[in-house]
Amino acid sequence: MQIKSRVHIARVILYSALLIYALGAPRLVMAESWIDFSDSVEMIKLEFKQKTIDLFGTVDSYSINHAMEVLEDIPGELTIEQVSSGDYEDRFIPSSGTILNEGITGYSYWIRFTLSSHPSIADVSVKRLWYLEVGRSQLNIAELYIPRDDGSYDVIEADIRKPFSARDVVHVNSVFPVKTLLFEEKTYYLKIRNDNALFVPLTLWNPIAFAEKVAYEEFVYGLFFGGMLIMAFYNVFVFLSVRDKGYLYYFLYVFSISFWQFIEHGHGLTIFGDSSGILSKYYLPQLLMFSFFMMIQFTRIFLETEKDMPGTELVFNIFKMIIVVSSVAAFFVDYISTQIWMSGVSLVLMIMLLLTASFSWVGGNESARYFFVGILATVTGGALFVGVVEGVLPATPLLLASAPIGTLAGAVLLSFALADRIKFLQSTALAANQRSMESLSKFRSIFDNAVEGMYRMTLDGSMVSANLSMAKLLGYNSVDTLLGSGVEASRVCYSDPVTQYNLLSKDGVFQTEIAYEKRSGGDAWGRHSAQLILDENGKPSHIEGTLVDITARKEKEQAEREREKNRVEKEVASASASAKGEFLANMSHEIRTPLTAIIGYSESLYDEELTFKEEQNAVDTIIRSSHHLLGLIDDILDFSKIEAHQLEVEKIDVDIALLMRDIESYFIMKAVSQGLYFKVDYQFPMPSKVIADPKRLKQILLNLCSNALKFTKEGGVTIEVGWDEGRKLMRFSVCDTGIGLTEKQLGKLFQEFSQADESTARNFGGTGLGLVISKTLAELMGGTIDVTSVPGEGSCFSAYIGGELPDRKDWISNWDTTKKETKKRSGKGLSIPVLSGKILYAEDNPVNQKLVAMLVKKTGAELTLVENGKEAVEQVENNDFDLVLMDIQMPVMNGVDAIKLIRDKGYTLPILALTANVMQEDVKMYNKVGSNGCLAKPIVRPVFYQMLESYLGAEKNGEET
Amino acid sequence: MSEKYSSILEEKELSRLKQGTYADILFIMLPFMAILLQTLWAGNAKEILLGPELSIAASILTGLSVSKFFQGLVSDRSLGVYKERVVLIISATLFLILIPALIMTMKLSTAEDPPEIVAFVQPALLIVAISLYISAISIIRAREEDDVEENKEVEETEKGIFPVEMLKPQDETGEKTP
Repeated sequence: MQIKSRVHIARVILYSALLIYALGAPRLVMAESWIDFSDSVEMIKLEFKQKTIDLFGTVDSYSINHAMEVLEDIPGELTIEQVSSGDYEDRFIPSSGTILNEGITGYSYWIRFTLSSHPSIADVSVKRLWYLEVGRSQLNIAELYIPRDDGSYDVIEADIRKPFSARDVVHVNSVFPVKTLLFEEKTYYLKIRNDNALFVPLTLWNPIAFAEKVAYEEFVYGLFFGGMLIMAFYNVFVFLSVRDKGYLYYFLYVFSISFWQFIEHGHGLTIFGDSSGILSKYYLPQLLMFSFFMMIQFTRIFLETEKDMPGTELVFNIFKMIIVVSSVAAFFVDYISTQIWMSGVSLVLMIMLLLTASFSWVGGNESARYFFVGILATVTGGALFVGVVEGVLPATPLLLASAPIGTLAGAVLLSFALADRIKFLQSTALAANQRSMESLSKFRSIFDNAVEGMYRMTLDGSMVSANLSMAKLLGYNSVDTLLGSGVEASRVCYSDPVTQYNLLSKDGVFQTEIAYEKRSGGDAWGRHSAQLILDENGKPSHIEGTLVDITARKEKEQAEREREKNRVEKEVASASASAKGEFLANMSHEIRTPLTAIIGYSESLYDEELTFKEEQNAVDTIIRSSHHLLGLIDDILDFSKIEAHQLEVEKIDVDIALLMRDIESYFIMKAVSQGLYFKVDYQFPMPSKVIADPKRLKQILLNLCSNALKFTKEGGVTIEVGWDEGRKLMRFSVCDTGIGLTEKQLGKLFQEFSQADESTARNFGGTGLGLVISKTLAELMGGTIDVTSVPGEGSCFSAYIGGELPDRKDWISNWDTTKKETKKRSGKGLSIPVLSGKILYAEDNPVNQKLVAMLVKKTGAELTLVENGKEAVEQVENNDFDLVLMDIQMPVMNGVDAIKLIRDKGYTLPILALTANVMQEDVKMYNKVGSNGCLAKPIVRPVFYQMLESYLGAEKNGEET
Repeated sequence: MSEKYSSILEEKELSRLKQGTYADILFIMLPFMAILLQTLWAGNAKEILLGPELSIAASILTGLSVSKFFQGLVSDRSLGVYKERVVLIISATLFLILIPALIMTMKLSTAEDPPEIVAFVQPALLIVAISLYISAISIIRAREEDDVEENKEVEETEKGIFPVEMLKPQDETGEKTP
């Protein structure tokens, strides 16, 4: 057994010893007299077995219990005549000297006693009045038979059958007036029956002493009921204040047990009248059970059995059910059985309460100590009363009142217990509060001193709490300044509040990195994490978040990125410089080569010794080299457009037969001169036309064929022309039997400024732009260029161009129709036309002036030269020209302004731009200001003549005439 | 799972358990309810308390409770630790409820004028028997659910984080190594 348990048991024993000692002391005093109010009265102690009570006037009271004889009348059918006849003499049993106590029984009892009146100095007459008190209230039968002189008996009733108002003596107990004469001796019969415990102390009172006794009783009951009511109402007021159910149950228990005592002692009927039947003893069981029920509830709340003692809780619940059922059953069962049952229930309940309280106390519930003592006091009061009833203890007034006194003491101690419990709960709550404050202080310290910024904000975005780090990170001097800034700080953390709140609502958390400007100045980076906090009902309550400074990391990353960027840029620049260096070297070579031929042959023309054939050869070489040079410049211009994403293509019908004839005628002689073959392989059926840009398509094929011839030393070049049904595109495959390409070379093939390898440029020349331009052009026309190659065997470049024409009627399946068309077209031919009319040519360059003058002179037309746009405008105003050829870049007034001015003045004569600025957008601009067409420099004679013929030719003139 | 949520689930489970047990009790009490209504119809309400029916019902419920206790003791290996306590409960049940209820049944079946205190004793016995039956069912089912949880834990423990075969010696797999 634990030491603590032993201490508790020792305490119990000590308290019990003290209580017994306290009760024992008054017992010694009170045994001398019923009422020891003063020395003037005394009580006569009768000798044992004395049958006659000698009455003296100066004595306050006589106990009848010692001198009576008792006859048990089980059926209750005996009459006074039968009892007094002597027939039942042998059934009268002399008293054993104690109070008549037959327990709970429904039997009737006849009590016989004899009174003999003797003179005393206090007597003023021969007649005396005494009061015979049966010390129980609400007896079922209480009849006193007073003998007459003639042998008959007068009967006085003082039981529940007779209303208090009709009784001779109004008292809660059954009291009979008894008149005696000096020297007279009479034998009285008292018939008693009680459906409750039959415990009937019989006392004969001197009227004055009886009055004093009644006053004493009233005083004691007043104290008791007053005390109980004070306890009850004090605690009900406490309940109204603290709302602790324990106080309510205590109030109900104390009030009901007080009310039970009030009725049980007969005060209900004496005070409120006999008509108040509900206040009679027949409703006491229900009232007592209600009291027990409340006591159990009070115990459950007080000792917290539901939480700490589940087994006891179960027993209590069973007991409550039994009490409720018993209360109902009591209405159907006789009163005596109910009383017996209630006695058992009371006994079990008291034991159970004591055990529960002691276990709870031993279990560490300090509040249970007063509770235990309170229950012990109540039980002790009851036990002492039972001891008196059983004759173990003397029937002193104090011990007879031990039950209510014990109840009162119990009520007081239970009230103390409640107060102590509240005190204990307060101290516990205080300690818990202190611990909470300490914990709060610790967490607050962590919160305040955290390196990370922490905050708490309302759902509408106002920060309500933050730590110093948060303030510092955002550039505020203090937390108060931060919190006082409204939603300014929140806006820093939430750059996109709506989206981020949706994220919070959906996932509960979100994390992001933010770049912000500190309020104190300077940029910073932070990692912001936020969490949506829900309340007990699962609804959003507020937001909590942290902000971690990652500025240093971000700056480091930024520096690393910049270093990496610089490195890459450096590498790219280096590579680009290298590629451009190679390109420039190639270009320099490519440009210088034709220029060498042009300059060299041009200078050689000054030599007068040259033959006509040599001169013709020199001119051919100069022209060919010039065209080669022009092609280079065109390539560079195209590449520039590609770089600027400004390269555009037309989408018009392209006659395939005509196109292929031009290609074939262009390359056939060249191939033959190299000892190679060049042929076109048509794969029928195919469309006669495709939608593409004829100029660009021709450029692609020229490039591919040039490359093929360039890299082919043996065999030849074949162009396969056909329709690719899978891709729905026109296919032009230029296949050669040249050196071919390796896998590595194929990978670099379509990169700008690159050729198969460096040796290629050295061996074969070229800018490395041709294939890039060709592929870009093919892609712009809705196709692409594929290449297959076998090193040493040859390559095949396939250009896919355009899409299917909507009408299948234009498809050709044989060669004849194509030939006819070709012949028809080829029949047009080129020659110097015969023109008539006046042409104005605005040009600042004298070389170009001379060239055009020479070309126009051959046609027979009249040419007027001016040197700028202003002069051209004046000439147009003063003369009548049939055609104006306008250079664009001129001093004083450029060609565009001049054309615009001429058109603004209302002249409608045809104007052709003759310029080197032939970028597509430039041509569009010329047309926009009023140009009728554009001739590109350098002048291509067939085109030039064709254009002039269209304005000044004979047909034109004929139409006009 | 939060403690609060777990507590709510436990309460719901307990409520479900109790409802099932109450249904059992209602079915057991069904014939007695018919007798009770018949007695009330005849205007002899007091006979309900003094007749043997309540003791018979208490006997049945007590017998069922005892059988449930035995069932738990036999089927639940963990109750072996508390077998003395369970046997004490069974003995107390027999001594304090079943035997008195049976004796009362016999006496009331033959007695013409029974002592009216039985009107209190019989309902008390029945209430204790009902409570005992509810407790027995609750204990048995709670133990069964605990066993399921424990078995799950045991399975998870045995499963471990490694394949068991890996930990076994090669000899135990069936193929004896020479």
